[in-house]
Amino acid sequence: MHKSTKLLYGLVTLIMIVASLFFGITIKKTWKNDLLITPKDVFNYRISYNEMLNHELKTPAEIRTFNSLYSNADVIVRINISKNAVHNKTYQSCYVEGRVKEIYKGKVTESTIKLIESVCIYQKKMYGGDGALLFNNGEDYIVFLRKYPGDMYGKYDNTYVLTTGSISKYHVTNDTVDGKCFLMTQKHSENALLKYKNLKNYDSFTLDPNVVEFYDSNKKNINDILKKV
Amino acid sequence: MKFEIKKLLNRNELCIAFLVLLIAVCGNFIYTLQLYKGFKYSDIHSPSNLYVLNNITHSPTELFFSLLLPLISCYIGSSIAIEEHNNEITPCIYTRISRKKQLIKQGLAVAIISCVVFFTALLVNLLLVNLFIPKGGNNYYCLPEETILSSSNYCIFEDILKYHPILYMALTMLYRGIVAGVFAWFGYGLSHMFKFFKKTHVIVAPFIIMTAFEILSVIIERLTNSTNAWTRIGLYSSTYTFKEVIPTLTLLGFFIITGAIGIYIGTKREDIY
Repeated sequence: MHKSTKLLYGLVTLIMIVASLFFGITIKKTWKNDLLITPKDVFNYRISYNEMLNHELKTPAEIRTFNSLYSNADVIVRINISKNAVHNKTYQSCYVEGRVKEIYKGKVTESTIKLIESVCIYQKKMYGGDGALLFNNGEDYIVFLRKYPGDMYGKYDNTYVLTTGSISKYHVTNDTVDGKCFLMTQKHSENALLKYKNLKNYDSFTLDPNVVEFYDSNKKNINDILKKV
Repeated sequence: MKFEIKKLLNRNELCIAFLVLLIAVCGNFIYTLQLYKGFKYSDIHSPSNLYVLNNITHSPTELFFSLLLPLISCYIGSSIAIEEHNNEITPCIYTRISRKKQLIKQGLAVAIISCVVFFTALLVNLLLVNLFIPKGGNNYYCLPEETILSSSNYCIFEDILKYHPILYMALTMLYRGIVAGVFAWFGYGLSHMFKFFKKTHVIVAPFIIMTAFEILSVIIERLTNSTNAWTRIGLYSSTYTFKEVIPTLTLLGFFIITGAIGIYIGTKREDIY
């Protein structure tokens, strides 16, 4: 092959690579990062109940006693969500980082963990998976967690998921559990009549009155655990 | 083998084929990106859905790595033996090395170079998409939630696709490179199989055979209404299910064996000296 031909081929290769890089940088500048949110950003979004399908986790209906709630969790911890925490939106849910304050069951080696909030945000609407709501910034919670096995792009090494959407998260004020589970009607859910700000003081929501009753009955058991610690 | 690879690297055909593939992958990248101009991150698909072999936007450049793959891989070097014969270099080579060894080495070199050319071009695309496209946007497998806990048997190596997508992309690219190598080997074998074969025949024959095979499988599928994997064998999928693996490997095996038979015939031919 002639030297000038080689040069020509090299030049065309270089032009193609440079053109691609230039185009990539130009288009990337036009993109908006909407994957980072705070609860305030979504206060006016309407919310519906979303039943999780095809998953291996227990539903609130399957967990009927505190013992079974306890045994289904790999880890039970008290976590604090910082005031300035940013919630990361993904394809069908969100996650947020929390600081581990106390461990009641299992082992957590890291001081901060990622918590999956099974809330899907799509086109200014929110879908709480099995009644899950976002964690509020600057608050403490007792959470019943399972280790998340996924590690796509190395992002979720240190990540946990609530064992259920509605009965695995309990708000704590001054070492006392005072969380609340909101009872939503079928009509409210189907027509997305409520805004997220209506539920911001609740830990979760449900369409089943028994779940609210169960949630409230668990608070006493959790307070007992807190007292022992 | 080194000498044969050097000979192939100096061929104009190799550079032209590489440039065509490079233009295809860069064109695919540019075509895909311009579709997402001004979008939000949450609306942009993941790199594993937008790289050239699995591009959900159906970029036309994908054809260079599927339909036109046999044509390009054979163009790179499968006709080298015919060219050497026409230039009367062959007798000179055979005075130094046994014909059998020479044909096998040349065939392997042709296959390896075709594989490397395709893989390198695809690697450029892999780097570009992973460099620029956000990983956490509209990405089904980037969902940190419960549904990922269950396995759907969507394809073989599903766990690699979920948890190590870049490795998965690299594997599918390597596989496509191997398919290109198999076609190059097959084309090289055909160049020895028939006396009347010229350069054009070698380049076009595997393409025609593969296209005819695909048309035939579509006809059989339509006539029998069958969903059997044996009637839908394709070499260009990036998400094979378990039942499609054996038929696909059988087809690849057929091309490898036919190429080897062609080379064997080449060692017995008297007209080459």
